[in-house]
Amino acid sequence: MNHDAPAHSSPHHVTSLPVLFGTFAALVVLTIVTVAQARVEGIELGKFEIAVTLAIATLKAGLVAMVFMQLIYDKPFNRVVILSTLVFVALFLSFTIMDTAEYMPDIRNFTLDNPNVE
Amino acid sequence: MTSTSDPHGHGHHRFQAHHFDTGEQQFQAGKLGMWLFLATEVLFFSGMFCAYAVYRSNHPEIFANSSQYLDTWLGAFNTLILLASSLSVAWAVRCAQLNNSAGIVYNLVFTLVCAGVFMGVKSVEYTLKFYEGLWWRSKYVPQIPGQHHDLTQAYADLQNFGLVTLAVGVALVILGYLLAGRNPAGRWTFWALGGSVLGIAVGCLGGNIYTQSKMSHGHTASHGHSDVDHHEAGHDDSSHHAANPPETSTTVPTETTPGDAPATTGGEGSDEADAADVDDAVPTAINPVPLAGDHGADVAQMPPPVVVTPEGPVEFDGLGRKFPGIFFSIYYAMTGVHAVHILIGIGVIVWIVARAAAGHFGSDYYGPVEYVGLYWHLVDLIWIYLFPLLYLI
Repeated sequence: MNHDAPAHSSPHHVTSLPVLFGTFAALVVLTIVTVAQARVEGIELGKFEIAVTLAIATLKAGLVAMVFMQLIYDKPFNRVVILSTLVFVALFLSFTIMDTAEYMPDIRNFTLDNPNVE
Repeated sequence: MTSTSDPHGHGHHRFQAHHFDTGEQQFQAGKLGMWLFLATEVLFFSGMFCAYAVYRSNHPEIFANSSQYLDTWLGAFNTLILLASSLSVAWAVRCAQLNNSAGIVYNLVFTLVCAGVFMGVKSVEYTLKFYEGLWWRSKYVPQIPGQHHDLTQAYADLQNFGLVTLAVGVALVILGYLLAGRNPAGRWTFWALGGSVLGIAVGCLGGNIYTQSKMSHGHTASHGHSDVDHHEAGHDDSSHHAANPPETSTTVPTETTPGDAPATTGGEGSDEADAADVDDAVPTAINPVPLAGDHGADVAQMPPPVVVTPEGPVEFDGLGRKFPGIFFSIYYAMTGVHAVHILIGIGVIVWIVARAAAGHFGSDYYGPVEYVGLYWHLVDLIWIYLFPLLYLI
């Protein structure tokens, strides 16, 4: 590392303030959207609600990881480390809930018996 | 070791370890180590997300029913607070890259205040749930539809806790002036700790005022609405009892007529004496006493049947008494472990503030700022998923 170099010539990416604040603003807007989607009367997404909510959360997580954690400017190997972890998490979750269909008849019966229990 | 070159005259940075060729190599090695640690953290939390996925997919009604006991606005507020703290951490890293030590200190102290506010709001949420009996599975107190808990003591306890933390925070700030003298690292250590404790006080007192005003304000509006929902659900349960007995063996209710007096048990009342001998005593259905100030008209029209077991009344008899507690077991496990991560984060950020105040960090050496920042962003990431999973859907 060159010690004589001026301060701003850091070998690492320096994120500009407009990008940082823009990301923060996007995160706040997405938070408001997800709360409004869940709580405001009249916005009913039905069976898509869980998917939409998790998609918004994943978008927020991506913004934090890519900009705040600077993953987009990071070495590819660091990206491989964290993204391969997500592959194993997906394997873990999908194998564990693989037999969920077994319980669907019970859930359906309960829903038929208690139509007003959401 | 006060100069920037090391005492052996190698010409490298004083914080560069001997087994690294360059500061850059040290930085990248530490960063890879931090990412590997974060990978284990993700896997660690995925165990709890897996428990959530399993119980939610098998008992969707429990999660929909139980999440109404969580306050969406407190959760949303805490989400915004954590996002703001992440912004200031990213800004602190930028300041380190630009040799701005004061910027690191100010940004990270703001992060600590945010972390404190988050914990303060969490203390309000936990305390109110404990007073309402919304414990984890083994201590869970089944909720009676339409019941309003008297939380006067909880509000008083929270106010006392908030005032004590306020005093401790102010004391830490004053101690920083008195004890550390002109040593900036010592002074900022006290002020950073004081900032987090003051944040806890603000979060606790603010959250307490919010929940109290919501209770007194929304007693007739929002709460009344949910009462009606309960009664309708309960009413419908009763019409299905005879045809469709609930699956769980422990909560087989007996049919009672709506006109029964509250204190009178149903047809199986004579079995009550035997109940003590048998583990799974036959529960009986009663109509709860309409509470004072409750919606008398609704109660009279649609009396909700409540299954009473030896452990107490059960909401939505078809669900079984154990199930709502499982949601709260998962809730406390996930938010509790997350809160422990926040507390650990407060500790390491105080350490970074002290070192930044001592002038350790600059564009040629800021690894610890970056690593602690990555850890803090991951804690934020976990909450980004916890908030919608627990509070919204």
